[in-house]
Amino acid sequence: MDEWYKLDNAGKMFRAVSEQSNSSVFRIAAVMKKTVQPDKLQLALDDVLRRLPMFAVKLSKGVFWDFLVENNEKLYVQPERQYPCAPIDPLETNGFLLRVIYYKKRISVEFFHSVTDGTGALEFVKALVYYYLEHLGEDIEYESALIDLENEPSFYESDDSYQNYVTDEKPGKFKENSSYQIRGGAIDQTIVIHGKMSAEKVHQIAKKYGTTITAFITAVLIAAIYKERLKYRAYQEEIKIAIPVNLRKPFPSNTLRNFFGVVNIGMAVKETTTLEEIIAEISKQLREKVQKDNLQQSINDRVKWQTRLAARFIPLPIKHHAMRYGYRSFSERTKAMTMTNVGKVPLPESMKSHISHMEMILYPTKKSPINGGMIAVGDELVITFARMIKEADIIRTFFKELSKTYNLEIEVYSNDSR
Amino acid sequence: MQHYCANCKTYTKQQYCPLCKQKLSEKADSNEYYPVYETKIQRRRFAQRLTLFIAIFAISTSLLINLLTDTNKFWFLYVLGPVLYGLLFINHTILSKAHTGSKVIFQVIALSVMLFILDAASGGPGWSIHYVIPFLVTLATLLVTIIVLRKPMKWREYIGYMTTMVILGFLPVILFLSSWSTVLWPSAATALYALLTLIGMILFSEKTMKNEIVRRFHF
Repeated sequence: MDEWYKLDNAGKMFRAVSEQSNSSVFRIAAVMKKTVQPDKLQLALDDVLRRLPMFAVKLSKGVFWDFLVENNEKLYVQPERQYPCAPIDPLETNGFLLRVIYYKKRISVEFFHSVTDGTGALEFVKALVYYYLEHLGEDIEYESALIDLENEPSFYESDDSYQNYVTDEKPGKFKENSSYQIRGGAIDQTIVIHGKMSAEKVHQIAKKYGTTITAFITAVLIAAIYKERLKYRAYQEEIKIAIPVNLRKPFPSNTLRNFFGVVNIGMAVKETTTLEEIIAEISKQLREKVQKDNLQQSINDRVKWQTRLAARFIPLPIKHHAMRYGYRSFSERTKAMTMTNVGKVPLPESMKSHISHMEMILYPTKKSPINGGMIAVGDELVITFARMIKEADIIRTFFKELSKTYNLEIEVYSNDSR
Repeated sequence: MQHYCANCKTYTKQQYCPLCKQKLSEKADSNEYYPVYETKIQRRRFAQRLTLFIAIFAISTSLLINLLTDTNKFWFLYVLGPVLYGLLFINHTILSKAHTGSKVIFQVIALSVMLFILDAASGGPGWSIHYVIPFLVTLATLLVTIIVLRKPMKWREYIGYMTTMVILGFLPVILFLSSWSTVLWPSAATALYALLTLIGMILFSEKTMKNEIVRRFHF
């Protein structure tokens, strides 16, 4: 019961800024081919928490920083009752910072972002599904580039990689332009719309443009935002999309905790701009910004504010206020939306055959009221938008554009029952 | 069954197109992917707001009557103290899900403040800071100690509250030194009790205590 972890750099930030309208809770879900059996899922969850102890934690209050402590309570699986990505109330989860939910064929896990990022969360979900299928008596294999389930937890799994890769290099001063911000009629629900399509076909289209799926989807999104919001006005702001980047590839790391950077990609669109031009520009920017040097800068930037001596000894409540201010005016102001691509989930064929598709839901916030997430397993690519505004115009145009222009067959589904 | 929305050029199994809300099918089928959400009625919050409103009502009314009738004597203080205490008692101690340790501490502080106000209203601070507040602090420290001893597993959770209580234990002595309080023995007894609790904490839990301090103060 003595194990404890400092919050990693990004974790500290999410801890500071999370509130009712910014839950900092994201979801990764696997839709199985058969109805989920809750008792087996519970057994699987017990196994996963034993093997991945850095997820079995609760938040404790400190004077200068909060921290994570080993949690020996039991985490229960629960039927789906609330909107996705609702704030995690420790009283509801026995102190845990994640919840495991089932509904018909879907197994969802929602994580408080202080604990892990998309990559770590995906490892958790993969392990959960693996143990679940094992408890069902299925004959399956497991593979992962990051963790070895058969082995004891390794030290690297709970590493703070931001600290490991920070360098002394002085961060260059540059001011990020602000972006157009999406506005709309606020609602106190999180409405999600999923669009399911063929991963292979989207890949082929992106390839035809000589770019990646991420860049292609981002470009279509920018075009949709322009078409719905900025077409009929004189002042053309830049429309920027924030794209989280997994840092484990350029900076080798096995951590299951946060280790990602964010790059903002975008441009000002004009009446005459064609989609091809947007795609070309976005691909170019994305290629440049994910260069190792640029990512190194972003690690240094992040760690810098936290390790400044003056900042260290300020009591936490004051620090939280400062961090919220910084988040609102620097991080949220420079993007219209976040679009995260978890990518193609590598799964052995024996597991894949039990999973229909997967979903990634990224929580919306007040200033970024629509956020997107995409994930693919096998040939099923699911792009999900979560929003806390009434208007679905941008989302609708986005999907319509994809199906009309590129002849993609898209199945949409939603939790919107109005 | 899949429906095609010609408007949005997409397929869906839902009765209404999720994108444009157009009705695609006459048959209402249950959603395969999402439940119908239960709307949580937030009763607790309503009760808390109601208590707050009643408290504001009571205080403002008595203040107004007091000012309109007799400005020589501020008898509304007799209302103010108990009402504020009642507010905390209902909204925090009973209705909130806060930690027991924090409830105990808030009770001590609120009771002290209320008694101090009552004392002040009836002719200057006297009995409250001389006798009642020191004993209140001692009692609360004892209470937290008993909780911790009964549930040793919870020791770590309470350590912050224990520390706060020990610090509060030295408050009466400070009141005495600043000559607010004129009776020494209750303050001194409270300080001794706090000191003993502190020594006890250090002696009987050296390792956890040290570990806990390291965690709580890491920077």
